[in-house]
Order: sequence, then C-alpha cells, then structure tokens
Amino acid sequence: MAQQRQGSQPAGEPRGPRTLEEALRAVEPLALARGQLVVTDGACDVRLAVERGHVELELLGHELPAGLTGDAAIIRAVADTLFWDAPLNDVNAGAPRDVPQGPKPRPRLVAARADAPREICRAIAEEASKLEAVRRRIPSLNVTAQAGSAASSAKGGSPIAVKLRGAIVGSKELNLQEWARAQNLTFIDVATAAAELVDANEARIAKKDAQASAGRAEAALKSMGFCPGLRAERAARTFAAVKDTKRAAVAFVRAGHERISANRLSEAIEDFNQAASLESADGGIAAREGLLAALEAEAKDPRRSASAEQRSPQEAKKVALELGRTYFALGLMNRARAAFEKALDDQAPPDVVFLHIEALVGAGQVGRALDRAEAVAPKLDRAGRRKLAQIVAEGARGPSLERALAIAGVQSERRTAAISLVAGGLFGALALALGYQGTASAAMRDACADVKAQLATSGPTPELAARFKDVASRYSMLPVGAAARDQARVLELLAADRQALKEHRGAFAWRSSDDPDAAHAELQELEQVVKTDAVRSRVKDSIAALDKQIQGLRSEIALVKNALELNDGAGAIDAARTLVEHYPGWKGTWKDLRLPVRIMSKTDGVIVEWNGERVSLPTVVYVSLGSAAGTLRAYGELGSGLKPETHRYDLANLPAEVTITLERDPTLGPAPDKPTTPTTTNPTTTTPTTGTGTSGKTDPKKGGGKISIGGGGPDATTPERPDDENRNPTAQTPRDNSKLEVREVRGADLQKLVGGSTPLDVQPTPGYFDFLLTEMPRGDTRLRLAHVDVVTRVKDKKVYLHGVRIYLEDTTLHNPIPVKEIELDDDVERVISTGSNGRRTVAAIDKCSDLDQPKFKSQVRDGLVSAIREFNKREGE
Amino acid sequence: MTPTNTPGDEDVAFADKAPSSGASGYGPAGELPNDSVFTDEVGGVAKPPAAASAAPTEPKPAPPQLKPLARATPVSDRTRPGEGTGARQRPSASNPDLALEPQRAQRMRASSSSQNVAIPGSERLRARKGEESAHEPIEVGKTVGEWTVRESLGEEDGVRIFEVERNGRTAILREHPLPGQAADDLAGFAGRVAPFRHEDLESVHGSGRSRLGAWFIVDERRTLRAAVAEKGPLREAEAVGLVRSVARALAALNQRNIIHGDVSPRNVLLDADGAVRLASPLRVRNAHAHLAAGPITGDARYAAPGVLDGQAPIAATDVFTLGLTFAYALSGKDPVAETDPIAAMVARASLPGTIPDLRSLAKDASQGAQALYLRMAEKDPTRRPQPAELVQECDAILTQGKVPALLPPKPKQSLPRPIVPAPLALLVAVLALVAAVGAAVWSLSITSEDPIAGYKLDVPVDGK
Repeated sequence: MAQQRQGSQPAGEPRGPRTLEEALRAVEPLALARGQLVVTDGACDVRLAVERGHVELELLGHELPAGLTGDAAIIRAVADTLFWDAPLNDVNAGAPRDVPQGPKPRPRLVAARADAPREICRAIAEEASKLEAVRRRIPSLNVTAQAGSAASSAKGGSPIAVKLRGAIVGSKELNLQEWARAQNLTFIDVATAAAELVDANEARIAKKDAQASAGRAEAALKSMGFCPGLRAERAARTFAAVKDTKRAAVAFVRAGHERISANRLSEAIEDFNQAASLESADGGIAAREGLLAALEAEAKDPRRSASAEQRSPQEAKKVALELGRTYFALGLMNRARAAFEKALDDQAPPDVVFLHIEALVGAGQVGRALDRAEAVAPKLDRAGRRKLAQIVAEGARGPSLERALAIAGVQSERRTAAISLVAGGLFGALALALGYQGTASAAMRDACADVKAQLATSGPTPELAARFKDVASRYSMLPVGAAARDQARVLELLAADRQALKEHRGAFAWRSSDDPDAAHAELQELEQVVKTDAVRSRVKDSIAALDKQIQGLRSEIALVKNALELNDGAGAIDAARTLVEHYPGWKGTWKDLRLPVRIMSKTDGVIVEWNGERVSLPTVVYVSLGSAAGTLRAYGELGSGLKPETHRYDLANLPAEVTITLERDPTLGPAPDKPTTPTTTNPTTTTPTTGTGTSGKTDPKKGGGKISIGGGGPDATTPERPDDENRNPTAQTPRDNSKLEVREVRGADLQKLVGGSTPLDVQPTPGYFDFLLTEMPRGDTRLRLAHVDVVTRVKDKKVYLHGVRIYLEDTTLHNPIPVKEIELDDDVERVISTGSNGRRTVAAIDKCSDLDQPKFKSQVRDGLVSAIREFNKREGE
Repeated sequence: MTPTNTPGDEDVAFADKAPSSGASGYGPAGELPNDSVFTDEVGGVAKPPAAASAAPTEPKPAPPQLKPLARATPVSDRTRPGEGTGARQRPSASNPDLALEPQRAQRMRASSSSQNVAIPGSERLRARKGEESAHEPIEVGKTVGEWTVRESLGEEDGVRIFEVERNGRTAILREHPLPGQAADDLAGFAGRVAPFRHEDLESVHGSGRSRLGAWFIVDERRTLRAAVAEKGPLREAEAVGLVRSVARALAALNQRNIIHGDVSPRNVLLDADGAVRLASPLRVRNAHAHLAAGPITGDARYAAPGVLDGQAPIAATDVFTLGLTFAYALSGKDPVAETDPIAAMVARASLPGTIPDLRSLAKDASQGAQALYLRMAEKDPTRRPQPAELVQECDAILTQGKVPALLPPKPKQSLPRPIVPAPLALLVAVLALVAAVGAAVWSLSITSEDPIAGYKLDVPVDGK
C-alpha cells in the first residue's frame, strides 16, 4: 500500500503523509487533542476528524458505502480512497475547516466511544493491508478495463465480478470508477472484482483514463473542499502530469497561497517552489511572489523549524532579488523597488543598488532615490557616479535635479573644466608668446653675433644697423624688437660718429699741430657733431688733454720767462729745455723766446765769435729757442799761443754762462802765466734729493748751469721726464727698487709760495705707496696704477701735506679714468729744514711726525679700492 | 441588513448636483440631495461627423447612442488643473474591492491580512461568527430595504448576484463578500455614491451590509464585453461616442474627487437603446493576484502602467484604461490574450508602451481613432488628456473629423556635460603649462651679447 504521489518531490523535504498508512499513523495521536485526515482525488474529499473519544467521517462529492453502518462504514469509506485516482492525503491538527453546506447535506458518520480513534485508525490500516494484493493489480479505479480473452466464455465468480464481467463484455471498454459510482458499489468491492477478473484473464486494464483525471483537476479548482490547498495541489499535479505546465503552475501557486492562509508555510514554500520550476505564462512571477511571502511569513513564524531558521532570510533575499530583476526587466519599477528593498542589505552589489535606485526613480520616489544615491555615490568612481546621476536625474526636477547633478559632480566638473580650459588657454597663449619671444631672442642673438663679428673687422656701418632693423621690424611688438631698434639706432650713431671721426682725424693729433688753438676749435666743433656720448666724452677728454697741454705749455713758457726776468739764465735754459722737450710740436708758441748766454773769458786776448760774429767779452748773447743753436769759437790772437776752440751749442748743452779759458799751445805761442781751467758751477741747482739714484749719470739740469769751455765739462744727457711738467723733476723718478712713481710738487714752485731766495727742495718718498700695488687686480693687465701725486699746500709760509691723487690708467682701451683724490682730514705740516749746504728741504711724507702713517696708508688704500670698484662698475655698465 | 440611501426613480436624469461649496468638494452622502441636478455637465450634445461636414453652422442632431444633455458647460472651466489626480493610498492586496477614497483605503489597509500574520482558519471563523449576529444574510425571499430578493443568479468573480424586485421593477443585487471593516467601507462608499446621478454613470438604487459583506443594487445592463461578444465590434463613431460618454462620467466623478479605477469593457454598460453608461465605481475590484507591492486594480489586461506597477489609480489611469477599452470596442479584441492577472500584467508590460498597436487590433481604424487612442494611452500620465479635454476631442472628431494632435515626444533628460570633459581639460591645461614652462626656459636660455657694449670708436685723446 505504497501509493506514491504524482509530481516531483524535493528529496529530504518534510512533507505530509504519502500513503494512507502514514496518514493514519499521523492522525491517531492527534486524537489526544484534535485533528483530521483529509483525502482527496480532486473531485471527492473524505475527512476523518478525530478527537478524544470521538471520530467523525464526512464526505464531499462521494457517498457512504451502501449497506454498511457504524465503524464498518467509516472504515470502508476511508479504505475506498486507496482506489481513488491519485488521492492526496493531508493530516492537520486543530479544528476542522468549516465548509458551508450546499443544497444537499453532506454524508456524515460519527463514532463516539473512548477508543474509537485508535480502533478505527488501526482497522483502516488493517483493511488497507489486506487489500495490498488487490492494489498491486488494480492501483486505481480510474482505469479503462477491457474484456480479456476468456471473458466471453467465462462463468462463475463473485457476484460483483460477474456483474463487472458482463458490463465489460457489454461495453468493450469500461471506466471502473464511473461504473462503481453508477452501481453504487464501494471501490474496494469493484477493485477486488476487477482483480479477480484480471487474474482469470477475463479482463485486462487497458489504460489509465487521463481524461477523467483532468476532469477531476478542473473540479478541484472550482470547489476547494475540506482542504483547499490539498485540492489545488491535486489539480496542479494532474496538470503537470498531462504537461499542462502553465495551469499546473497556477494551481501550485493557488495551493501555496491556500497553505499560507492555513499557516502551513513549509508546504506553501514547497508548492511555490514547484510552481517556480514550471514554465508559466507569468514568467514565474506569481510563484516568486508567493514564495517570497511564504519565506517572509516563515521568518516571522515563532514556530519555524531549525532548517527554516537558516533558510528563510537568505532565500527570501535571493527570491526577492530575482523578482526585482524580473520586474525591472518588465519596466514595473514600483514592484521592482519593493522587491529590491526586501533583497538589499549593506553588502548588496553596486549593480543591484543601481537597479534599486532606478526602480525608485521609475516608481516616482525620487527623494528616496536621491538619498540612496547620495549614500552610494562616495563609493563609486566618476563613471559610476555619472551613471547614477543620470538615473536619478531622469525623474528629478528643481532642487532634486540639483542634487542629482551634484552626485555626478557636474557643477564641479564644469567648473574644473572651465578653469582648466581657461588656464590651458592662458598657458597656451603664454607658451606661444614665450615661444615667439624665444624666436625673437634667437634672431636677436644671431644678429648680435653677426654684428659683433663685423664690428670687430669693419667697424660700425649703416649696413650693420640694417641687420637690427630687420629684427626690429619682424618682432616690433616684443621687447626684443625694441632692443633691436635701440641697437640699430646706436649702431647708426656709431657709424655716423665713425664717419665724423674719420673726417676730423687730424684734429686729434694736436701734439703735432702747429696751431693748438685751431686744433682745439676743430675738436670743439667735432664735439658738437658727434652723436654718441662715449665718443663725445672721448672728444671732451681729448679737448681737456689739449687744454691741459696748452695750459702746461703756457706754464712752461711762463717759467722760462720768469727765469729770464729773474736773470736766472740757467733756470731759463732748463725751463726752455723742458718746454722744447714737452711741446716740440708747438714751436710756434715758443720759437720766439730768447735765452741769454753770458760769455766771459778768463784768458786774455781771446777772440770770441758767436755764430761767426765776433763779440767782445764779456757779453751776453741770446739764443732763439726756435733755433737754439749756436757756434762759439774762441781763439787767441794770431801768435798768442792760445789753442783755439770751437764749441757747438744747442739747447741740450746750452749753458747759461760760458767762461772761456783757452789753453796755450806751446807750439803756437808763449805760455800764459797761469793756466786757466774752465769751471762750471750752478748754485741754483741742487742735487736731486731723490731720484733714480743715478748719481753717476748726468743730471739733466746740469746742462742748464755754467760751463767752462776748454775744460772737461760735463756731458749733458737728457733725463727722463714725466708727462706732467708741473711736477718736481727732482722728485718724480722712482728709485730703482721702488715700483710706483710718487710725484711731488716742484721745489721752485713751492719756493715762490713760501718765499725766500734760498732754493727749496722737496724730499721725495719713493716706494712709500708701493703697498698700493698689492691692491691692484691680479692677472688684470688692463688697469694699471700709473703714479701717485702728493698734494701739498702752502699756508702761512708753511708747507702742508693735503692729500694724494691716485692715477689709474686703462692700458687696453685707454678709457679715461677719473683721478681719485684722497684728502686728509687735517693737513699735516711738512717741516722745512735747512741743510748744511744752505738749501731748504721739505720733509718727506714718511718723515712727517704728525702724520698717522697707518691711517693715512689705509685711507689711500681705501681710495684706490674705491677707484677700482668705480672703474669696474663703469665698465660693467 | 442595513440598507442605506435608496434614491428614487433612476429616470430622473442629472439628478445629482454638485455641492454648493464648490466643485471640488465631496461632502458626506447625506449632503447630496437625491434629486439634485448636475450643473457641471461636460461636452454637451455630440455631433456625428457626417452632420458636421454637411452643415457645420447648424445645430447637429445627437448621435443615436448618446442621450441629449440639458446643458453643455465645459467642466474644465470649473476644474482646477490636476485636481483629483494626485497619488492615493493603496487598498489592501488581499481585498478584492477597490478602495476609492483615502480614508477608506487607510481603514482597509489596517484591516488587511497582508499586513498581519495570517489568521488561522478557526480564528477567522470565530471572527466571522461575531459578525453574523449583526447582519442578516442575503437569501432568496428576504427583503433588502424596499427590494425583495427573488432569485440567486450565482456568482461572478466572487460576487454573489441576486435578482431583486420592487413594485414590479426588477434590478440586480450584487453582494461582495468582504471582511468586516472592508465591508463597512464598501457600504459607506456605496452610501456616498448612491445619491450621485449622472446620465452617463450607472445609478445605485440602494446599498447596505450583509452577513457576508456589503451589497448594492443596480439596474441590469449589458456590458460592453457582452455586447461586443454578441454583435461584434462597434463602429468607429459609436466607439468615439462611447469614449465621450465615459469621459463625461469620469469628469463628473473626478470633480467629486472620485476615481473610478476600472473603465474596462466589463464596467462599460450599454442600455437597450445603445446609450453608454459607466458602471458604478462600487463594482471595481482588485484582480485576484497576490502581489506584494500592491494589487492590480481592475482588469489587469486594461490597467494603466502605473496600476500594473502596483500604484494607486488616479484620474489619468481611468483615461488610459478607457483608451484600451476604446480599442476593444473598435476591434473586439483584448489588449492581451492572457486572462490570469499576473500573466496579463507580464504580457502588457512586454508590449511597447504597454499597449498594443491599434492597427494590429483594428485594421480599419481611422487616423482620428488612432490619434485618440494614442492620446489616451500615453505612458506618461501627465501627458494624457483630462476627461473634460477628452470630451472636447471626441466632439471634434465626431463633428468636425478633426484628428487630435499628439504631443511631441518627451525629450530625454540628460546630464549637462562640460564642453570638454574635465580630465581632458586638465590634460590640456597641464600640457599648455608644460609648453609654457618649456618655452619660458628656452626663451630665457637664449642670451645675446651686446655687440656694441665692448666696442668703442678709436678716439685718440693723447693728441698723437
């Protein structure tokens, strides 16, 4: 009696009783409280309700067995269900479901005694056991029986078998179930008879009557009987058996909902799972909806089993997710939203969250969608945020749209893009400008290189300026263009100055000019003509040098004249010699000066001729400076025995006084009484207090003293002369071991100011300023420390050291360097001492006791350093 | 039995009148006089297209299927825009009857079994037993108000149908089996709808509570579905006239803040003389489908997209459903073949715009009918015409043959984009910066020596 249910059954799933025996074993204990067994074949129901001491049988769509009463009727009625068409059993605790009475009262039997439930249940089970052999042959009466080979000739058998055989033979085919109902026979009797006929080969089971089964399924859905879920499940299984999956799915869903309402959640879940596994017209939505509802109800059910404890929440979320996706695909956003909300938790994947948000928007719940999107957005990348915002913006308006745009960062992105574009434009423009500037600079660089090269070879020309003009025209808007214009202009000016200089080249050679004034005027004219400051400055320097030279010339001339006025012939000659030496080109200015030469004789009878003219002695002859030469011939009278002598004088050896002493030549005449020896003395000259130390050499001034003709006169030589004729010639030559020339004022000049007739000398201080040489830049030969002038003042007949002037020289470019003057805070007196020879001497600097030597040297050093810096600064500029 | 308002003769056309306090007010049922007359009729006499083309300036005879109206005052003059179209509370998914008012819906939601743990059958039975004592059952031979129950006509979709009689006049009693609170709600709603009279709306002769639920009495009329099944599809002018009549009824309901909920062929009724009436909103029930996010109100095959989606019906959803009913009237075909609500929902949702192409249903549909159909069946409820506008458009079709203008497609919302994407703009900026720096370095690295700086013209200053 192992009747298997139709349809698939999940393995291991706890379910209701599968067989009548199981059902009876399950319902018997329920008699302690309350319970019932329901068996249905879709169209007919049997309900066996048990309670303590009470058994009630109720039939729906079926009749009680005829001829039986009491327990027997109950047992037979229940046992009859063994031969129903695929009956389903259900055992349920509690009160029976109230089913309204139809127009006809339902058959009902009651057994009321203490052991009724136990006895009846066991009796039914025993009856079923006895019928096991019959059931093997006839599993169900819903079959079509046909006559067997022995049917026509068969005789005998049980009355029902005879009746059945006759019916089968008569109708060829017979549905046993319908025949049993028509004959008001119990199914057990008919099944037993049919088995008997089958055993006797008088009948055979042709086929199961599927049509009748389907009809019962239809009936099952119309009236729900004692157990609606069971009936719906019965119908579903029938539909599934005939491959009508769509109707089967609907029936399973209905069964599930009936069981939810009966709070039989486990069975409901199974029904919905069955429905979901079948192909349905709604794509399984109804099954999933029901399954979700059942799982949720089970999750809330306090009586849920341990397996449901673990299963329901996760299964519910899974089902909800599937349902949400299905709804979403169909565009049913509100339903998708509801399903997603059941499925989502904190660990939901982003795609599901996106779907949920889109579903919220589609359902018109933009505010919630925005809240959700704003919560999710920080976890997304830019593309994800943008996609999310696109979803939310679909249904957003006004402030909601602003929030949606904010999720995508549209405003900030637009701002960033705008700023970036503006910055990019500015940087691009800057790059272009700088590139253009670079191009211009490169062109300028090339032009400068070309011009420099050509300038070194051919000097400034208008063609060179054109090179810069080209650059200026191409890049007129740039600083380079302006610089090029400036260069072109300067080059043009230089070219013009060069031309002007070329035209006035002769004016600069004023030293060799006969007319310095004319040269001066031409230079002044040139100064007006030149256009560059540098050239103008140089012209000015030249003019200044010319002026200075003219001034020196006049001073020299004045000295000569002063000496002449003072009858200082030797001084005049010395001055004239200096004049001629310094200004040889300007002969026109001094050629008319006449130098007196006193001629005397210590020898009697001497005849003297000066330039062929006989002169009487003593006499003074005047030598024109323009032709400062003369020939002195001295001789005695014929036969005087005097040896004639002839001396040729020029400015170099012209004495101020000539004393003639002729020697006697014994061969020529009688010897004189006392031989004369020419002597030369010059009281006005002094031995140089300083100087080169060339004591063995001839002092240049010596030529300006007296000479003696006929004796061994000194061999006049030309001393070195500094350019500055105002300097003391006795103090301007450095010593051999000194490196730096120190120039002092001329003693004669001082004498004029100090007064007195005694010659005044200035004691030089050679080498005193050699320490300055160490301050000069090493390795730089351009700048040279030319000399140092000592500035001396005379106040109240006293001589004071006032300061020094430092002269630097540009040896390369000959640029003029301003004289650096260092003045003492307070003048220091230079003591005038009188020597043993009666000459006065102004003390050397290093002999000035009142002078703070270190401080003075430091001042001078600082002055030099300052001058060097100024020079460097100017050159840098 | 607790019968409520039972107005007099239904033949008194336009028996309802809007409350004097304003068109939008919808006071208690007792405030509405039973025999009041509508002052807010919509449309007026419809003109057939043929008559319009023949003599446009002359008054046109009414179409045969339409009753003449006493006055023709456009309802849009007194209806505020968007009035009665707001979102509504949803009724319970477990309740087959539609809650048409917010308060009622709230109560039904509170009593919904879907909101609570399922009640075991025995407890439900005991709860039902408690109600049994308060109300009488509807049974043949019993008297319900002034009506006598003559015969049980069986069940229709869970509703028990009885034939009732009063003074020799027969009518139909519909008993909706409902749980207690829902039955009270439906009875209350029936009490408010019953005094409402409109020539294009089915009249309710009485209502009340019964042991199983609530009942109301209406005249027996053929539904559009039955008429089409019997005689085939309507002619186009008849179908447009049907839309016009239903739209007028909807406009009147909307003015009283009532949404019908199911303007499907089963709720469009035809008199014997061809006049069209919209069935009472009391008839509207939810589809038998267990859906968590909300039930489908009415016939799922005809429901608007929002209703299919589980949202509460609004005025615009009635217009949409009317559009599909119009297609049915023209073609005799349902929008989808599936009868199961969820299967129908899926089939509808799978259609483009959730509607079938009218030409696929009715090949001979004119351009005007096509345009009218598309206007009503717009997916976006805000783009559908108001019932009053619909009446005018129907009039324009019937009298002038004017084709309703379709709204232009709704532009798709898209996020504003910068002219250039920010990363690209940033890249451009960086490249430009690099170029600028490079150009600056290159430019500054070029130095030119002043060719004149070291040059001096040879100017002798020594005079030589």
